[in-house]
Amino acid sequence: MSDPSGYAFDAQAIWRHLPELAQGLLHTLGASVLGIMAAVLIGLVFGAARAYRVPVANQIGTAYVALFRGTPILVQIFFLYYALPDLGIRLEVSHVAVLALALWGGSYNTENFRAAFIAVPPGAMQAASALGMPGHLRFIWIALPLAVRVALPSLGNTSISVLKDSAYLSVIAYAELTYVATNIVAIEFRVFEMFAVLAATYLGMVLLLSWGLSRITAHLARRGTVGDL
Amino acid sequence: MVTEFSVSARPLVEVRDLRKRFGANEVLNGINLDIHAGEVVVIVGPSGSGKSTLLRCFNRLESIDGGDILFEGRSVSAYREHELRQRIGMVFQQFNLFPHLTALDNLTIAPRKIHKTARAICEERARELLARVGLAVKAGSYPNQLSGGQQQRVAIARALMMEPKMMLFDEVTSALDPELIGEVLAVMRQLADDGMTMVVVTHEMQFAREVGDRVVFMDGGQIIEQGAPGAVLLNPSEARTQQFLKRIKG
Ligand SMILES: Nc1ncnc2c1ncn2[C@@H]1O[C@H](COP(=O)(O)OP(=O)(O)OP(=O)(O)O)[C@@H](O)[C@H]1O
Ligand SMILES: [Mg+2]
Repeated sequence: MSDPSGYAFDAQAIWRHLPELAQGLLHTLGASVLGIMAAVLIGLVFGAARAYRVPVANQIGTAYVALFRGTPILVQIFFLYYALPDLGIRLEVSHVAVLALALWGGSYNTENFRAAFIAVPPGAMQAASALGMPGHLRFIWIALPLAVRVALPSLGNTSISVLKDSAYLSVIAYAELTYVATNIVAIEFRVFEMFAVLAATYLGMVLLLSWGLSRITAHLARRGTVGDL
Repeated sequence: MVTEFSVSARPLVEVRDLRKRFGANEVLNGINLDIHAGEVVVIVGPSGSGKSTLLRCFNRLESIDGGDILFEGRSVSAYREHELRQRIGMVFQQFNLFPHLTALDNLTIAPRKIHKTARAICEERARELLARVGLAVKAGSYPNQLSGGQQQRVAIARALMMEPKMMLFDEVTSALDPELIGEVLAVMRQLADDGMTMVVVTHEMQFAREVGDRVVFMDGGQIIEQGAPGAVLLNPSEARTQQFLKRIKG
């Protein structure tokens, strides 16, 4: 097929496989977007629980973070896919995909939010108390918006990692972009074409996400501060 | 009419043998103090004498270990916490504005969220109050776009939004550059002229003399001496007061 003395880059190969690759990209995006959103939510809940030392939730959060930040995501994916059925929990591969990304990203976001809630200026919270705002209103209207601003850069980094690490989902045959592309390589040996597709697509998605985040950051920076207060 | 008269004759605040400690550190050792409606009470005293702690006991930012504080004849501990705090405004040394909100939103956030008052109604009142502290044009500015003096005036207006019966000021000019102190004191002076009950912790002796109805000197968690500003600040009868005044003038 290919010339043994040199590799002939065949752009046609990409074109031929475009429908499968597009399908793979959709799966990558689906799992990543849902995973990122769930990870932010998990991080918010456990991050607040840890920062404010909410009994029980704080301890659960601590153990959760230790477990998921202390083990490789690959091991987590394998565990969720192969071990959960043995525990009587049967999930579709697409659900395992989202769950794995959410739990992994959520452990990092827990730390991101924990640090952010701790960085909320105590004076602002005290002023809200002195105005007679009860705890839940202080949390929603003062602590949360300030913490989000502080956490934004680190939430962005974690989200980018979640997006890139969705590639690991290929090990459980979740038909995302990397899985599709490596299958094509295995069958047709179009290593460079597929590598080019993967690199360009992931890079494009990461740049797009970074750009969106920088827009939000710039918008918020014009109103109060971001990153630190 | 008779009951109304007797209610208003009663002090707005009655502090009775108030005690407070942090661990083994006795910070307030039996404070007795009456504050009448419309009165401006200035509290002075050396660092660590318990001035801030006393103020923070009024609105229950600190818990009380002994004695009691009656506000409008009722123990502060009998109030629901946020109801007490809505009646007693507080302004801090560090302004403590909400950094993510404009000056206008700093004023409206609490009434809008606590009382669910319509935004338009809150904003109308907020603009009036901002005008009163001379900041009508800064309604849309964020705290980091305001000078310290402007931030502190916003903080005063924010406290007034809740229509408090009494205002607590804890060294509200101490973090300001000297040239910005005057504008904040002017707002407080106006507030006093309008009849607001005020408890003011300050090192501004001229303000104490001119605006205060009474000066209270504290040391070691006790009230050492109190009386008319002229008497306490110019002719103190206690040695500790004399020493303190000499030190801050010196
Ligand atoms: N949260 C706290 N925990 C422990 N000790 C405290 C706390 N707040 C105040 N103290 C102590 O209580 C004492 C009185 O403090 P307070 O702040 O009331 O004094 P102050 O008269 O306001 O002093 P300053 O003029 O420096 O503001 C000090 O010894 C202080 O260290
Ligand atoms: Mg103090």
